[in-house]
Amino acid sequence: MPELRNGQLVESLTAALETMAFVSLLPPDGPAPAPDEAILVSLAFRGARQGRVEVATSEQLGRLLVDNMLARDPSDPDSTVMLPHPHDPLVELVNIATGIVLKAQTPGGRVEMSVPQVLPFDAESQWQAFIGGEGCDVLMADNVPVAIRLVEE
Amino acid sequence: MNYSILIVDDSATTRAMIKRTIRLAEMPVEQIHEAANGREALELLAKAHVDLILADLNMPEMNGFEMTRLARLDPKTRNIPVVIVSASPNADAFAQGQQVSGYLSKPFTPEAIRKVVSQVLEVQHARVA
Repeated sequence: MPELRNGQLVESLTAALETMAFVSLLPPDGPAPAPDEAILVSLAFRGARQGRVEVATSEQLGRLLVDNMLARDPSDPDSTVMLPHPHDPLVELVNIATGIVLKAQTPGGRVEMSVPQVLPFDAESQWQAFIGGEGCDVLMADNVPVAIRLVEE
Repeated sequence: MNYSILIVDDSATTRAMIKRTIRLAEMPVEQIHEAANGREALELLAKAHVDLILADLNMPEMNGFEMTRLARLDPKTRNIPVVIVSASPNADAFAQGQQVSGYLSKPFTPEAIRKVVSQVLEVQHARVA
């Protein structure tokens, strides 16, 4: 497995995914393709540390998280009523992962987390630059690419 | 006695997950209200009877810190047990300072939710009995 640039952030994301949605993060077999239905979630933090956590992935992962977190059977037609938007669990995922890593890396320091934002992200034009940027790790969640980075200011 | 619970979280998925967990555990809960932020929660508390609040902290419009502070100032709501359910790195310090009834960090398992809700409702039951 390629060396992780921010192992603790990846561990935090792994803990969130596995605990709440029973989804594992695995290294990609090769270069991770740009995700379809791409989405970028960004959470800024300030205080003892300033920066943001960003996750680029696919809405497909959001739908999987909804299904798993609500123990929903996608083949059951009765289970489609009032489902959360696929962005919702992805935003929550970034919220949780950021909280875990900030708590671990800033003991005793007060850090304020903003509400995560969903930002426009064109995978075709932005994915390579995003994953090639400093501190970015790319993994696969149920065959969906997930790129994650922590940017300090 | 059947209880009424209010879940306050900006994540609809998390609210649904908690609600499902409580229902499946067959706890003595008659009604489960939901609010997406602190402001909605306070509006609901002004109209409905609630026995337990499960509250996230990091939310838009009004966060859980402010909601809990305001609920504690109101005689009608000051004694409702509040359990903080949050990923915020400041959550446990806040929980200690605000006399909340419990604190559950995210990510949580269904068992952890069942346990904390059950414990708080048992205390409520003993208090009323």
